[in-house]
Amino acid sequence: MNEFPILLVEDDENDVFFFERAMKQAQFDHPMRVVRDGIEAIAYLSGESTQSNRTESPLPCLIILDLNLPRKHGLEVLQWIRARAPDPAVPVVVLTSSASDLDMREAYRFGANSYLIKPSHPEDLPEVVRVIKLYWFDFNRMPPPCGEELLA
Amino acid sequence: MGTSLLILFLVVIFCALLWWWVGSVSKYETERNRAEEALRESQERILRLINSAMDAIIAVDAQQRITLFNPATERMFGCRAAEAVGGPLDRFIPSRFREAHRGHIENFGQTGVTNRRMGSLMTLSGLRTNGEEFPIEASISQVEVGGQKTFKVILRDITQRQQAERRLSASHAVTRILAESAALSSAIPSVLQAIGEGLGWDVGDMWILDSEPNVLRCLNVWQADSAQIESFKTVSYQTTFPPDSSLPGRVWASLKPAFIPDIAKDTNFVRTPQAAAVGLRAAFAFPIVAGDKFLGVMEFFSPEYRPPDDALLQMFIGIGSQIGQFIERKRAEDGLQQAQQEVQQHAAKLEQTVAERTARLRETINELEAFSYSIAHDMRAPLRAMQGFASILAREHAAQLDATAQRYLQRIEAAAHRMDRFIVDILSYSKIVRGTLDSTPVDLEKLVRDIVASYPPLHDDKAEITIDSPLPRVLANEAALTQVVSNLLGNAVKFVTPGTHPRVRVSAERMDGLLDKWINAEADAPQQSIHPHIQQSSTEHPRNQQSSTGWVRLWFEDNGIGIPKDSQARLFNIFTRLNRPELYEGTGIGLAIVRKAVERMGGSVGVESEDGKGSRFWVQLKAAKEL
Repeated sequence: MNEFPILLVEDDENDVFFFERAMKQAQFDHPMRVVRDGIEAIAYLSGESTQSNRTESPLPCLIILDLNLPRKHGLEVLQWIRARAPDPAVPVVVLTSSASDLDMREAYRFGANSYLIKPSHPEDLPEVVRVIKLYWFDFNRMPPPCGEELLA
Repeated sequence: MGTSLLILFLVVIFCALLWWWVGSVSKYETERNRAEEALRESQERILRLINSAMDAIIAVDAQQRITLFNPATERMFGCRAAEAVGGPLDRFIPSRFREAHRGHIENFGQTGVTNRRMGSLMTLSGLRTNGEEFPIEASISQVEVGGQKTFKVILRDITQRQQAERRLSASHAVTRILAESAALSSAIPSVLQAIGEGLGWDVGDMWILDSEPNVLRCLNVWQADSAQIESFKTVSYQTTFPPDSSLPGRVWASLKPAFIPDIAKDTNFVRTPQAAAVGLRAAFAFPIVAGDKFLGVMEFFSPEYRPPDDALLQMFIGIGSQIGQFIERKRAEDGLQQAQQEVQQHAAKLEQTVAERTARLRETINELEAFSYSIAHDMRAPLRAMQGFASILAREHAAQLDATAQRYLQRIEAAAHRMDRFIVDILSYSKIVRGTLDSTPVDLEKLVRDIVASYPPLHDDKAEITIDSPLPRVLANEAALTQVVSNLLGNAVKFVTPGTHPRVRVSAERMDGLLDKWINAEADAPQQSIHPHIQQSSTEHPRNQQSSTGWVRLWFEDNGIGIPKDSQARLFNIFTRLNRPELYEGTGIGLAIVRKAVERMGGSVGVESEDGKGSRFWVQLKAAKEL
C-alpha cells in the first residue's frame, strides 16, 4: 500500500466524521487529507494552498469527491483535475447523495472512475469504505502520482 | 332599139340598185334605232339600280367633281343630289382627311393601283352636312371614257356595325376582367374603364348597396383622361342614395336600367349642378344583381347629348348580372378566406399561448426538480447525521443512558427513518413523473418472481405469494413496472389485520380486442366511466405505440383489510393515507407512483374491494408478442 494520501473533498462535517469513523471500522488505515469545498480542493491539488509544501500536502493517490460542494461544484473540480491538475490521471471516486442520472452521466463524461451513492444510513458506510479499500487498494493497481515517482 | 333597151336596162339596174340601197339604209336605221333603244334601256336599268341601291354610290371625274350622287348617298350625307352634283367631293370628307385623300385619288388615277389603305386609312370617316362624322367603308374603281377618267365610289355607313362591334368587345372585355380579377377592389375600376373607353362614355361610377343604413354608397369613380370632374367626383363620394332617389336610386327601385339623354332636363337627378359644372349631359345606369339580390348600380356619363338607346340598356342587363355574380362570388370567397385567416390566427394564437404556458410550466417543473434535488441532498444529509449519531449513541453509549433515554433515542431513529422513507418516495414519484419511460417487452413472470425473491416481507416466512403461471409478456418500462409491482405487493402484505398471515395471489387476464373497443368508447364518452381511475387514464392511451396484441390485466388479490368504497376514488392520489400511522406506516405516495407509472406506460389501474374483505388491485398494460 502506498503512502500517498486519499483526498476527501466533502463539505459536510458530519459526513467527514462518519467517513473517518467508517475507515476505522473498516480497519482501513491510510493517510487522508480533507478539503471542504471545490476551491480548496483545486488549491490543494495545484499546490497553491497555505499548505503549499508538497511534503505537507502531498499529491493524493485517490480522490473521493462529493458533488454538491460550496464555491465550486464537484463536476467543475473534476473537469479541472482532468484538464489542469499536476496529476490529471489521478483516480476520482464520486461519493454523493445524488442519484440523478444526469449527475452520473456528467460525472463519467468528465472522467470519474467510479460513482458511489452515500448510503442513506451511516451505519452502512463502513461497508462502502471496505469496498473502496478492497477495490482501489487491495486489487486495483495505480502508479504513484505524476512527478512523485522519485519520492516513492 | 338597142339604145333604148340599153337605157331601159340601165334604168332597171339603177332602180334595182336604188331599191337595194334604200332597203339597206332602212335596215341600218332600224338596227341603229334598236341598238339605241337597248342602250337607253340598259342605262335606265343601271340608273334604277343605282338609285335603288342600299349603298351610296358616287361618281367623280378627274377633277374630283361629283357626277353621280344616288339617293342612298343623299340619305347618308343629308344632301340632295342636285346640290351635290357638279360640286367637289371634298365637302363630304372631314377636312383633316381632304389633302391626303386627294393625293391618293390622283395616285390611283395615274397608276391604277388601289389598295386597302384607301378604305382603312383615308375614307374611314365621312362628313354629313349637319357636321356629324361617321365611319364608312368604301370601294373605288375607275373607268376611262373618251380619255376622261371617272372614279366610282361605293360607300357603306358602318356606324351601326361598328357600334355593335364595340359593344360586343366591351362586353367581352368585362367578361375577361371578371374572369381574371382576384378581388373586387381591382375588378370594378377595370370594368368601369373597359365600358367607358369601349363605348365612349367619359365617366363611370359604381354604387354599392350598404345594407346597414340601406343606402347606395359610391365605391369607385372612373374618368377618361380628358374628363375634369373633381367636383362631381367629390359630391358622389359624399352622397348616399336611398331607393328612388336620383339615378342610382331609381335603378335600385325598379331593378331596370335607365337612360337620361340630358341630365339638365331630368327632374330626379340630385347631382345636377355638379354634373352641369363639369359638363356631363347624358347618363345611363344599370342594376348590379345576383339572382334576385340587388347589390348596386353602375352609372356612365357623357358630355354629349345621347338619344335613348334601348339596345344598349338591354345589353347591360346581362352585364349587370355578370358583375353581380362576380361580386357575390368574391364576397363568398373573401368570407371564406377571412374565416380561414381567423381560424389560422386563432390557431396560431392558441399555439403561442400553449407554447408560452408550456414554457412557463416547464420552467416551474425545472424549479420543482431543482427543489426536489435540493431536498434530496440538503435534507438527507442532516438526516443521515441524525440517524448516524443516534445509532452511535445507541450502540456505543447505551451503558450511560437510562431506559427512558434509550426509548427516546429509538424514537429519534424511527422518526429519522420515516423521514428518509418519505424523501425517497417523493424522489421516486418525481422521477416517474418527469422521466422518460420507454416501453419494451417485459417478462412479467420473471419480473414478479425476482421482486418476490429480493423483498424480505414477501418471503415464505412472512407471506404466502401465489403466482398463476405463466404470466404473459407486456409492453412496459421495466424499472417503472418493477416499482409498480413492488409497491402493490408491498401494500398487499402490509395492510392486513394484525396477526393475519398475508396471502397474495398474482394472476393475469388477457383483454383481447373487446377491451380495445371499450377503452375507445370510454375515451369518447368519459362521463360514462365505471371507474374514476380508468376514466383518467383512458385518455392517455397511445393508440399506435407498438405492435401489440391487445391488453393484459395483472391482478393482485390479497386477504388484507380492504378499502371502503367511499375511499376508493382518492386511493391513488398522492399523500392519501386511509389508516392511522401508528397502525400502518406509510407515506401515502406508493399508489400515486403506481398510477402515474402505469398511466405513463399507456395503461390503467383500478381496484375492486370491500371494507374488511381484501382487495383486488389490477394493472392493465399492452400485451407484448409472446416469444
